[in-house]
Amino acid sequence: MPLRIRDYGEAHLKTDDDLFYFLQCATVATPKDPGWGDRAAEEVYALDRFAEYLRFLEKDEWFALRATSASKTRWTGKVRRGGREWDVELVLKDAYPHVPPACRIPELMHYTDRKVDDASLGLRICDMHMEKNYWWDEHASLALYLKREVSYWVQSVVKDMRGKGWL
Amino acid sequence: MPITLRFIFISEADKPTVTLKIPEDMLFQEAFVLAAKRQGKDAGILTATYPGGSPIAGGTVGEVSEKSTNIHVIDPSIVGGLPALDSGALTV
Repeated sequence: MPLRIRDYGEAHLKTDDDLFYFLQCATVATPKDPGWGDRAAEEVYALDRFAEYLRFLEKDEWFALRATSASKTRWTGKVRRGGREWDVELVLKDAYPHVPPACRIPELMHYTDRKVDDASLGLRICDMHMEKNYWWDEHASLALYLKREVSYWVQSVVKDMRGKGWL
Repeated sequence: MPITLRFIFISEADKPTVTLKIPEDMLFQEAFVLAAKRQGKDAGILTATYPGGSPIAGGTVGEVSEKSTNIHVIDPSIVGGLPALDSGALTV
C-alpha cells in the first residue's frame, strides 16, 4: 500500500507564534531550580536559531547579545536600527520564566515615555503594550521576547525620534 | 567574584556613601538601583558617573569596576542652578 503523505506544515501554521515555534523552550525552570541548566541551554539554542533566521532569511541581524555569566541570567549587547546601534541590557529575574525578561535600552529610553518602573532595573522598556492579549507564557524564550517586544519597541521609538527630527 | 562598589551621593550636603558588595557579573544598573533604594532615592532620576564626571552607560559591575570602584551619584533636582553671576560679568 503506498504511503499517504500528508502535509502538516503550512495548513497548521496560521499565526506568527506557530511559525516561530523554534523559539520556544521545553524546560520550565527558574534560575534557582536544578533544571535551570537545561533551560539556559535551550535559551541559548533559541537565540542562536533566531540569529541564524535573521542573518540568512531577513538579512538583518538587528541584535547582538552575550551572557555576562555562566548562569545566563544577565545579558548585555546591542540593538541596531537604521544604521545606528544602542546598548541593551536584559535581566532574567528569579521568577523567570513565569514573568517575562526585563529589558533596558538606556539611550533610547531617554527619548520616550514608553517605559515602566522595574524593581531590578529602575526603569525598563514598556512591553506587552502593543498586544491585544498577554502572550507570554513559561515556554516563551528570551529570543521570542526579543522578536515580539524589543524589536517592535525599538522600531516604534526610532520612528518617533526620526519623526521629531531627533535622529 | 564579589566586588565592592562605593556609591557617593555627591549632590547631597553630607555626601552620604552606600557601599555594596556585589557579584561582578551583575548588571551595574541593578547595583545602582539597589544603592539608590538604600539611600531612599529613585534611581530613575539619578545619574551615575565615574569620578571626573564621565557617565556610566551600563555594562556589568566587573566592567565598571575596571575603571573605578568609586561611583559618583548626582541628583539633578538637588544640584540646582548656577551661582548668581556678578553683574559686571554680564557687561560687554
